[in-house]
Amino acid sequence: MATSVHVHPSSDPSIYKEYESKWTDLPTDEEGWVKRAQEVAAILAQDAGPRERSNASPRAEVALLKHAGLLKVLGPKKYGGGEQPWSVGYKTIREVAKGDGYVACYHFRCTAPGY
Amino acid sequence: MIKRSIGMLLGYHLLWSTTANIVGSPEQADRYQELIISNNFFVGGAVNPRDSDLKITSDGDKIVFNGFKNFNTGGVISDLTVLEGHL
Repeated sequence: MATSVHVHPSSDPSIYKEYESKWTDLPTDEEGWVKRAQEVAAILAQDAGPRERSNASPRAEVALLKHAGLLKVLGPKKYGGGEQPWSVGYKTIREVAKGDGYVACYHFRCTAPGY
Repeated sequence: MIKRSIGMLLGYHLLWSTTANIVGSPEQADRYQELIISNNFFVGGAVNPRDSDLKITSDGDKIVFNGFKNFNTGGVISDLTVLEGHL
């Protein structure tokens, strides 16, 4: 029996292509990381309305997070990460969430493993 | 399908991408950090204590997850997804 794969629509990463080379280096301190997250939040806020109404998977938005280096905030410097503590990670999460139109309160934040 | 906030996706990514730091050996933790950070991977997770468990069976070199998950954060768009199950 053939199986069918349902392909869920997703947002198009090319809408953020201009940001691929916008950020050449990772921030080096908390202030820098918070500022980076605020920049991303501002970009996201530009189309938060249409995105919320659409049900597309956030492929473009994840691409934007990648361009900004935010996925690496906690990672070891030896592998190209920001090696920041969780306290800085939380701040970046909060800042990005502000651009999303969501209040940055959700259950997970108090229970990061080992924190 | 529940619409996720991007802040939440970042939060879950940071959580799942550091899972090996907590539950893995130092060597495993280091290996996963190298994989995830040097490739700039986005990590999702299908782990929720309120959700049904996946059954794990061993297939020689591989382990096989079987079952159905109701909650999956970023699974469709993630480079890596963390799964949990019981043997």
